[in-house]
Amino acid sequence: MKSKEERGKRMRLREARDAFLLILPFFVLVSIFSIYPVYQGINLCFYKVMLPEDKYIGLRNFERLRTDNVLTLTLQNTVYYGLFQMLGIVLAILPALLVNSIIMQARPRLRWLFQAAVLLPMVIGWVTLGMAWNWMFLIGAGALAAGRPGAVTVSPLARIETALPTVGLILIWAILGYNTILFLAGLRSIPKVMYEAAQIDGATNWQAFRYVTLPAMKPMLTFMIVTGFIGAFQVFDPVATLTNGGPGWYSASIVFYMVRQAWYALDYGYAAAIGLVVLTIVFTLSLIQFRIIYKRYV
Amino acid sequence: MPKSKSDRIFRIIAYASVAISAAIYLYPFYLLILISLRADVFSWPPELFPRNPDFSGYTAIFSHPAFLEWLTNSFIYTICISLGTILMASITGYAFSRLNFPGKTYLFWLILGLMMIPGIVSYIPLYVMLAKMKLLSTYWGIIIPPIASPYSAFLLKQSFDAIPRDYEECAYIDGASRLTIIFRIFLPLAKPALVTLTLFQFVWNWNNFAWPLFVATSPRFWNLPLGIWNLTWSYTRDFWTLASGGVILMIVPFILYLIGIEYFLRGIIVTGLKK
Amino acid sequence: MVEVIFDHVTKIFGEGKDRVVAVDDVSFTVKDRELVVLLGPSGSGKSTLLRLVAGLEIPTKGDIIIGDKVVTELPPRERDVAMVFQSYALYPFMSAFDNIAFPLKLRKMPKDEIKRKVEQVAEILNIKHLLHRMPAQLSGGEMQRVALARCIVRNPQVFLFDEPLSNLDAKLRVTTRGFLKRLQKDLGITSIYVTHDQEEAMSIADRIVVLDKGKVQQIGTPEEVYNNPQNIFVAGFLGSPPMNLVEGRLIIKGEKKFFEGTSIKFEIPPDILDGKNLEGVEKITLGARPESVKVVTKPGATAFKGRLYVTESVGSTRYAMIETADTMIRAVIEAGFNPRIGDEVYFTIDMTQIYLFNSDSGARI
Repeated sequence: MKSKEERGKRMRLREARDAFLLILPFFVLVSIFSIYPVYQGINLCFYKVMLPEDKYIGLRNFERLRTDNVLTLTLQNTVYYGLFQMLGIVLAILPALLVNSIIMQARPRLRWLFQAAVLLPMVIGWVTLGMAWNWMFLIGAGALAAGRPGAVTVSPLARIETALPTVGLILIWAILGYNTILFLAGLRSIPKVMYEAAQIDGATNWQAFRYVTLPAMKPMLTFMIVTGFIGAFQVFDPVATLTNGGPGWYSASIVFYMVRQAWYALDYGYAAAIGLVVLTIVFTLSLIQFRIIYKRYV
Repeated sequence: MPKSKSDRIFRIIAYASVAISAAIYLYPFYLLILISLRADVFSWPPELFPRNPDFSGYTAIFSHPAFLEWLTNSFIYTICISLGTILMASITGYAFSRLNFPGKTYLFWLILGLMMIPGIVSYIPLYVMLAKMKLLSTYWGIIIPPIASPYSAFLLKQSFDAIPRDYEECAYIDGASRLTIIFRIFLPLAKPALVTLTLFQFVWNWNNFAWPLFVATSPRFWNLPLGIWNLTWSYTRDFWTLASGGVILMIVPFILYLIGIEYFLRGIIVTGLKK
Repeated sequence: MVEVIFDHVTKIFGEGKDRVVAVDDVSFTVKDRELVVLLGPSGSGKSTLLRLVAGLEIPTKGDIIIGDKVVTELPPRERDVAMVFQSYALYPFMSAFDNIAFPLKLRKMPKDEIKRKVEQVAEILNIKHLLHRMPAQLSGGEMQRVALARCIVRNPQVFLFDEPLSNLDAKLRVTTRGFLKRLQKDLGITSIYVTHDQEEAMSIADRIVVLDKGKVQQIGTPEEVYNNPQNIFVAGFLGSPPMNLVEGRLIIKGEKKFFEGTSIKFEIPPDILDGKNLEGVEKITLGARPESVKVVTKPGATAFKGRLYVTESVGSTRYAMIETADTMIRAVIEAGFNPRIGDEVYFTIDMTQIYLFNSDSGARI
């Protein structure tokens, strides 16, 4: 009589063997190109990289981090972008509600057209988007200045005070479609019976919204807001194509600054140090996000 | 029964809001097309329909010496990276979804953890690594590293989990080998998920210019977005030429979008709700 | 005194080729304190009728009156009705207490009074210990009682039940049935109850309204609809196992009347058809409940013949399914007699318990 462990062992071994064969290529590549770079990244921080020669400079990069004004500025910018993203997500609820109540009642087919239109920016690359918005603002600025002789036609993307918020708004525009679609899906997943029960219990439309819709959307909302904020720490394409960081560094995100250090200043060690900062922030925020989810559901 | 008057008002609002949304979202692109055709949009009132479309911008781009190179590279990168990613993600996702093996939980957590690393941040050490391996500005160096995508593997695993195992188990009882089950039963069921991921990958890789920015040190390896972007910031071209470049860039994703719009929309809803 | 009156109520959904007449000119009155069960198969319009009373739908034609108010076009809020849904529809993000308190909270009742009422109702339903829990932490039966409490706490004019027992397991269903009936009697609130389960309807209803395809088939007490079905549908729908229905022709030879099916032929006892107008009646359907059909061990003069298809035991009774040239007949078979599948068997029909229907109109003769 075989023991409990022996029985089925052959099948389990075969299954494990098949599995490892399948995942081996992936994890080999992942180790080389995802895991090792993390180690490399930390390692690089201690060097001033001037290939093929690396010069070990110890903690000097980290020192520089502390006193770098540009870093502080870009970090600030990134936080602003994060807040803009959060705002954008909250704003996305309104169109979702509009579509869900009015459009679904009147002409449900329109919903697809709406979704297709608002999702479009996510599909078109930022090179094109950046160009398009630059022209939009140039023309708009020109139109505004047309009536006023002597006024300077400067696109808001090129002015220090307005560059950052403008990029932020364009970001909201681009991602609004995505967020709205998600909220729409969430709204539609609320079973109709809940609204009927509330109606019978005596709730007005507003009360139904407050006691049925909002509580149901809260988990989704929370998750998306946190994700949105974290997402700001990866913003590169929009900055590169809309303002190239400018004017000066006033619209640069921290990742943009990092890329500049690496690509243009060729200071990979310092860039790695900045990257480490970004990584730490993102990691911490993600962990916080996990904690929030766990607390709610476990 | 809704009275027909408020019914009509709702319908009007519905059409109006969709029209407004469409306008807000399509106008920037339309404007770009207008500019590329040298329509006079700078004076007031702006010319909203080009009376004399001028394609000189487009010819300038097409005749740019490096254009064909950029275009070819774009196609190569997009197709190779996308297909490679899907292949990797499929077999990995399948293993995690359908098979049991020691260390599965830990490896899965590893994937989750890796997903938290922003891609761009790892470009820097990757660059240094590739430089040392002398793989910069080579096709291998550009195509291979992005293939192992934890995010894609995770997505597919989740999608595969949602496919009921009943069919596979039934075939298993009937005596089919694992390979047969995978190809003749599982894959057809997984087709929507795979198509969706393929579309997302194609679009993402086509538009991606940050990665080649790092790895393609020689302009010969630039892809189309990178090439056009570079033109933009070098101020050496007429603006309508640049606009033409932007429009050309957007053709491929736009076509993919139109063809696969259902997959895009469904893909977003499914991945979004899962959280 | 709260009566619910349906006055020529019709409800039509959709247009053109999607047009569905869910409720077709239904009129009846639910008396004060009565528990009326709307019984019928899916698509019969019973749920639609309930929703019309609730205010979740508005009738295409006709009126609905609750108490002394015509509520036809009023929203649910203004009708003072309470409803238990099939899925209970408990608000998932509120505790049981908050769920029950919700209607009171909406009416801006002071907090201490809410607390008092909720606990009072929880006491009646024996869920006081569950008040702090969330719906996800409750079993099916517990959720149902919370849903009930939510209805009771408002002291509404009418109770509406939409298949409340379908999500419970069989045993719980039976025990809850009695509980619900007793509760309704104690509270004395006029109630309308929807179900497709005729056994359930029979056990709790004061009166049953049998519906099919949007039309009222018959209204009566459980005994009435069971023992005195007015048409083929009602006859076949009530009773478990269902009544045997055999189609045949009416042959009149002078004073005698005969039922002529394919293999089942007999003279119809005179008192059944006496005094009835049989003009133009040619095709008739015979109805006989399985309890009235007995398998006999020895074929007699009045026995019919058939082939045993299968036997099934329900509780202490054994039924034989018999294949005849007409149709499958279900009969009672006594213990001890064990024919094999495929054997020839004989059965008798108790002629005092038969029903005859006009095959074309479905009506009882």
